[in-house]
Amino acid sequence: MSRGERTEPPGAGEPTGSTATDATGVGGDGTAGRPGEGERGEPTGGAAPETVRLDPRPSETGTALAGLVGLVAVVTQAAAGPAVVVGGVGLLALVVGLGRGADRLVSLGVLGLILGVLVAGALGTPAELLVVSAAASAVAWDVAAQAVSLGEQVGRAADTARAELVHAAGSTLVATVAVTAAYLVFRTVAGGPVLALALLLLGAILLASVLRG
Amino acid sequence: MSEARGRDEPDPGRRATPGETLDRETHRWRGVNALSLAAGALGVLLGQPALLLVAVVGVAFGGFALAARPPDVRVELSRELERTAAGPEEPIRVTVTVRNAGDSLLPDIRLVDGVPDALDVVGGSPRTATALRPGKAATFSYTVRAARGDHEFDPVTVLARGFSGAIERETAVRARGDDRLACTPRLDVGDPLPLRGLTTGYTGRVVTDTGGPGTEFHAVREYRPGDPLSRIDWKRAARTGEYATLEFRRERAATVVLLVDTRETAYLAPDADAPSAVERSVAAAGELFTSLLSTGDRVGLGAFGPGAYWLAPGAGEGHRARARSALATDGAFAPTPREEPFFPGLELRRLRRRLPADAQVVLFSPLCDDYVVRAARRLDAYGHPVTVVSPDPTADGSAGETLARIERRLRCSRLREVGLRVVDWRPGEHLGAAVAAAQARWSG
Repeated sequence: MSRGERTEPPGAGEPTGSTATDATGVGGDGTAGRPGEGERGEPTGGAAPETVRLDPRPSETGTALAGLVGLVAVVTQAAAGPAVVVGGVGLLALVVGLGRGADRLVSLGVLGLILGVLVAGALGTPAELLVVSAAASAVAWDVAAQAVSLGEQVGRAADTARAELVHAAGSTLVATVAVTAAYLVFRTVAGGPVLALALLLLGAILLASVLRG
Repeated sequence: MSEARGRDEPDPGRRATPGETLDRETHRWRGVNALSLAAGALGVLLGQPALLLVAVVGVAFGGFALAARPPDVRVELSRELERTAAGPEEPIRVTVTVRNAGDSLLPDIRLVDGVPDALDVVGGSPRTATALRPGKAATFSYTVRAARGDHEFDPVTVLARGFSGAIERETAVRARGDDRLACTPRLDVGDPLPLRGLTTGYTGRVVTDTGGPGTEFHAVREYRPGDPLSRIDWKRAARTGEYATLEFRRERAATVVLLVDTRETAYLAPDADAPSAVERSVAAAGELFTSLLSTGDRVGLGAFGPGAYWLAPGAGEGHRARARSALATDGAFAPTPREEPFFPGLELRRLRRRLPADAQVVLFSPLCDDYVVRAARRLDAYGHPVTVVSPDPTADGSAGETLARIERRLRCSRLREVGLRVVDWRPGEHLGAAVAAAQARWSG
C-alpha cells in the first residue's frame, strides 16, 4: 500500500548539532503545532514561544476525506452482511490509523475494505453496487496514501487541503471512467462465459507488465 | 515506459541540489494488480461475473499508475523576510511565494523551505502542499526565532507528483528575494572576572604584589629622595623624626586573550532546545570582552576550532566593534558546527606564536574531551596563565549522561590540581554567580 513511499521529509532544519553520549544535538527542527496566527512581528515580551516540530501525522482533511470515501465503500457492501463487518472493521482501522499516523494500520484498513468487496462479490452482491464499492475502496486507498505521504513530507501543521482535494478529485475521475467503461463492456458481453472475461483480464494485465518491462 | 523507470532509483535520503532533478517511484499502487487478479480468480471460481468487474476497476488504477510520468516542474520561488537584521530571540515572519512558471498543471506540489539549521521555527510551518495551474501562485508563511549569527537560507526543496502520484520528482529551487538573516546581539557589559597575576606595564585594575602607587596598603619602606610627599608617612615622621614612605600594591592592566573552544565536540547542550556550550561561551566571551575593555585591559579574541578566528589584543571602541561583529556573525563562532577539518596541534602552535608574551588566556570550553585539558595545561605551562570558564552541557538523564558528567567533573579537578582556575558554569546559572562560587577557592 503506501508502504513503498519512503521519501523522508527533507531537512528543514533537521537537528545538525553533534551528539555525544552526554548531550543532545543542537539545532531546531522545522515544523509546527499550530498555525502561527498573531505572531506577526511582535518582539518577544516575556516567555519565548516554543519551538515547533514536524508532526508527521496525516492531516485532518485527508483523514476525513478517506473516511468519507471508505464509508461509501462500506455502505455499498450492505447487501451482504458479513462483507459489511469486514469492510467496517477495515474502515475503522483506516480512520484510526490516519488519525494516529500509524501507517501499518492504514494499510490494514485498506486491505479490510478490499476484502469486504471480495466477500460482498462472493456472496452475490449486484454488479452495480459491487463496482461502486470497489471504486470507492480504490479511491479511499489512494486518498489515504496521499494523506500519509503528505503527513511524512509536509506534516500535519502545514496547509495541504488543496493538494489533497485536487488529488482526490483526480482519482475519483479515474474511478468513474473505469467503472463506466467496465460496466458498459460487462453489460455488452453479459451472459458470456465467465472464464472468457477472466482470460481477457489476465491478458490485459500481462500486456501492462510487458509494457512496463 | 518512461525513462525514469529504467534508471536506478536515487537514494531516498539524498536531497536534490538546485538544477538537479531526482525521480522516484512511490510504489503507492503496489499490489493492485495482484489484488485484481485475486478478485478475478475468485469470480471465476465462484461463477460471479461481478467480481471480474471489480478486477477491471483495479487494473484500471494499476494502468493509470503505470502510465505516470514525472511532472514537468518549472516553478519560481520568492522569499520575503519581515526584516533581514534582527536582535536575538526576535520572531521574524518569513513569507514564501511559489508560482507555476511552466505550462502544465501541477496537481500535487510540495515545498519545504530551507530554514537555516540554527533558526527555530516557532509558528506556522515552513512546508506546504498545493496544486497549481500554470501561471498561478501560492503563498505560505511561518515564523522563525532569530538566533545569533549570519544565517543563509538553503534552496527550497520541491517535490512534485502527477495525478496518480506514482512518480515523484524532486528538485531544489533557489528562492529570489531575501536569503539572509543577520542577527547581531548587543555586547552587554558583564561581571568582571578576576584575572591572574600576569600584567603589563600599564596601570589597570589587576592588583599586583609589587609596591608603588595604588590604593591597597602593601608595605612601609625607608624614605628615598624623590618619593612623592603625599606618600610619606607623616605620622611616623612626627613621632620619631624618621621619614618613611608608604607603598601600595601596584594596580596594573593585563593583556587577556579570550579563547572560545569551537571544535565540533564543543557543540553540546543538555537537551535539544537548550543553548549549546558554544552559544553560552560566545555570550560570556562578549560580556567579558566589554567588561575587560572598560577596565583598561587589552583584550584579544580567538576561536579554537575550524575557521580559526584571531583578533590580536587591543583596546578602543573600534576594537570592541570588531569583536562584537565577529562574535555575532563570523563563521568561526557559528551556532552550528562547521564541517571542516581541524588540526588542533597545528592550531595550538600557531596560537602560541600569536600570543603576546604577557598575555593570559581565558578559555571557554565545555571540557567534554581530554584534548582541551591538555591544550589548557600546555598554554599554562608556556607562561600564559589560563582561566577556564566551562559552561556545563551535561545532563543526568541516562547512565551515559551521568558518566559524561562525572568525566567532566574529573577534568575540572585535574585542571585545578595543576593550578589552573576553573569556573564551572551550570546551565541557567548567572556567570557572575558561577565566578563568585569559583573565586572562593582561588587564592592570590
